[in-house]
Amino acid sequence: MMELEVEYKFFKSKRREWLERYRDKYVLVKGEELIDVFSSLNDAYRDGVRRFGTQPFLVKKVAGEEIKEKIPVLVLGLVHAKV
Amino acid sequence: MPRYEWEVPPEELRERGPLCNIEISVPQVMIDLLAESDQPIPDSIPGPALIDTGASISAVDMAVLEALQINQVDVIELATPSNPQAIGPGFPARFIFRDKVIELSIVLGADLRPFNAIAIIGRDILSNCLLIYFGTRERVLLSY
Repeated sequence: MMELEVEYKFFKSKRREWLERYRDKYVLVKGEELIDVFSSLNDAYRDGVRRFGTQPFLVKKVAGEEIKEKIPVLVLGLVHAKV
Repeated sequence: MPRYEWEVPPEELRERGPLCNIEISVPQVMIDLLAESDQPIPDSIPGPALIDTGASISAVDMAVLEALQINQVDVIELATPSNPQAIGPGFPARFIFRDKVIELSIVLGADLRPFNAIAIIGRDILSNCLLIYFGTRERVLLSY
C-alpha cells in the first residue's frame, strides 16, 4: 500500500463534490476525513503539522481540472539514455 | 532583484544543462515544531540542482528527503505517454538559493542519482525568476 493511499482515494472520490464548494482552496485530509479547508498551501501545511506533527497527512488543491504534472526528463528517462 | 550569473564550460552546459548550487531543507513550519519539542533539526543539504524549463514541477532526490526526514503530504498525478494513472509522491521542501529562500514548495520525490543532482528546478519555481541561458557566452543568469 502506498503512502497516503487512503487519503488520496478519499480525495478523488470527493473531488467533484468539493469543487463546487472549495474550488482553488487547499484541503487537509487525514484518513477518510476532511479536516479543514484553507486559502493557501502554507496555511494548510502549517495546520497539518500543528495537528499531526510528523504523522502523514494529505494537503491537496481542489483544482478546476485534474492537474497532471509534466516532467519529461524523468518520465521519459531521456537523460543518459543509451541510443 | 538579486541576480546570480555563473560560467559553465560549454560541454557541461550542452551535456548536463544549467546547474546551480542550492540547499534543500525542512520547511520552516516543521523546524519550528521540532524546536518547540526539543527534537533535533536536520541540517540543510547542499548540492547541484538542474534547471529544467521542460518540467512543470520541481523534484528532489528521495535520498535527500529521507535524510531530512520529510514526510510525504501529496500524491502528484503525472502526465506520461504510457500510463494515464501515473502518480508520484509529493513532499514539502524549502529551497535556499544563496540569500533567497523559497519557503514551501510541494515537489516530486524521485531518484535523481543519474543526474548527479539533488534537485530539478521546474517552472513552478522558475515562474518567480528571470532565467537567461546564454549559450554563446557559456553563462547562465538567474534573477529572482
